[in-house]
Amino acid sequence: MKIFILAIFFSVNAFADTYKLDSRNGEMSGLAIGKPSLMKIKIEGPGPSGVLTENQNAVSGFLTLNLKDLKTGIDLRDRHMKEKYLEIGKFPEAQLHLMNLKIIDSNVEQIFTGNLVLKGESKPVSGTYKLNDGKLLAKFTFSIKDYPIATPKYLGIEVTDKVEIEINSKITRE
Amino acid sequence: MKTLLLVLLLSLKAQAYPEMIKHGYQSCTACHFSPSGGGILNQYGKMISKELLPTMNIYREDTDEEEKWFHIAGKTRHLQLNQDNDIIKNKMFIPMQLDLEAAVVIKNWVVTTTAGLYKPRGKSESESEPISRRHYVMYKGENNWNVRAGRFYPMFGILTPDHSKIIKKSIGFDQGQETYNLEASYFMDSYEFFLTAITGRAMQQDIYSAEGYTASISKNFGDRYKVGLHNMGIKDRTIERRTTSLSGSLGITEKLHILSENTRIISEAGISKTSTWATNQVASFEVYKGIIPYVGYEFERSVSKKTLNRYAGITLFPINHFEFKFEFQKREYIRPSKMDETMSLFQVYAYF
Repeated sequence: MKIFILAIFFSVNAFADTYKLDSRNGEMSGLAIGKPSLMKIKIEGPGPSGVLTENQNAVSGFLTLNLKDLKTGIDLRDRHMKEKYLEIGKFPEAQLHLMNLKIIDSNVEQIFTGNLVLKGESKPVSGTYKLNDGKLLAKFTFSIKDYPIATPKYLGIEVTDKVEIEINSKITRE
Repeated sequence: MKTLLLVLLLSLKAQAYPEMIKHGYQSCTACHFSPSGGGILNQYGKMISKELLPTMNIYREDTDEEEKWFHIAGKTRHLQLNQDNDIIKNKMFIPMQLDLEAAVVIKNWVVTTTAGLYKPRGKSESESEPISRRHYVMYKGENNWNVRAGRFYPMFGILTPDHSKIIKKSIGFDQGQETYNLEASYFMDSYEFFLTAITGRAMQQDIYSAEGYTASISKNFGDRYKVGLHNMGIKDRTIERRTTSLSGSLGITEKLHILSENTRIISEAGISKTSTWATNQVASFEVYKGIIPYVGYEFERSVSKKTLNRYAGITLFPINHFEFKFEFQKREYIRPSKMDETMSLFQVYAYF
């Protein structure tokens, strides 16, 4: 009986759809504000990679973002961001855990909730996403203070708490 | 061929780089003490200028990240002036400026002053007089507002240092035309507000009394666009002028920048009323870090005056804190008398 149940379980998963994101086929951008001058700090890098699995019309899984590839346009700022604040030597990746997404390729904006893991700390985040012609556009905001990251500041300029993230990535069904 | 090799940047206005908007710096206050830009750089500005501007960053100091209370900067500018047209044949090298500027920061207070020499027109170098072209006291509020009082150019349009441009002369921002002002500024996420009371001209008071105001509002779009609407009313001894300007600093890409100034000036002297349009459009493209060619077009037009100026040039930042600028201008004076003129200019600008 147990063997029969296991066989059914594995057969179901064997036919489950998976959705794959490849960092080479996408891009990520972030926007942070520096005060008091209200400067816009744009963070750019390759998109996330990962596999999402569909189960009963809901998709779950996690996406991984390689932090060492992020750039802000200024070498010194990149160095501070990666070494001092994100400590990419110890924490080279961020992960976005997603549960129960509806994958509808209709260019209709939908809401997602998930968990963002940064510097080993997992905190809930929510945002929007839409899928159009095999391209995923997702946006969410996270708070720096939710993570063990000191407030980034340098010579009188301090980065505000909220960071907006946007992901543009090709998503392939397999 | 009429050739006028002319470097007219006699203005001792502070250097300002609206092109920094390409890198997300929509507000001047990130790098300058002055809310309207130009002048002595703050500590962050000094670091960022080394990172972003020069082709070769010859020294990379990573500071201790503590803000200093005392800042000092030096500025030297030289130009080659060669004139050759039907009226004037002239070649000269002019040491324009050797100024020191200091800033003291104590908590929320900033005091700055420049010190240098000024050669009045028509006088020799030996008759130069000591001058502080710009000085002010400023209080920086906690929530992105500032109040400052002193001598400086009031906020109007985009405060680039090119006073040789027709548009700068049109609005009265020529050499030595700084005014005494009381200015309030307020910065929001997407907006900047400036209100300035102008209480008098610092120099040439026998010609200009200059009392009035400027009001300016700018809005940031995206992370690389800024559009401003500016109004200025100035009453001199015999002329009253109301000036309105629409300006744009547009970082189209991280390499391409467009600067646009469009101004209307209404001058009233007694029963005489004159309307003048002046516009300046310049596009620059950073072909390589620190190598920025540009092209521009400007004109000034009123009933009695019409001038066109097409220009092209290149700005070079070869190493930290050195700027070289070469510019060629082709001017066409149509009114009151017709004359064509070509100019080229060369400017060296260094600061520390």
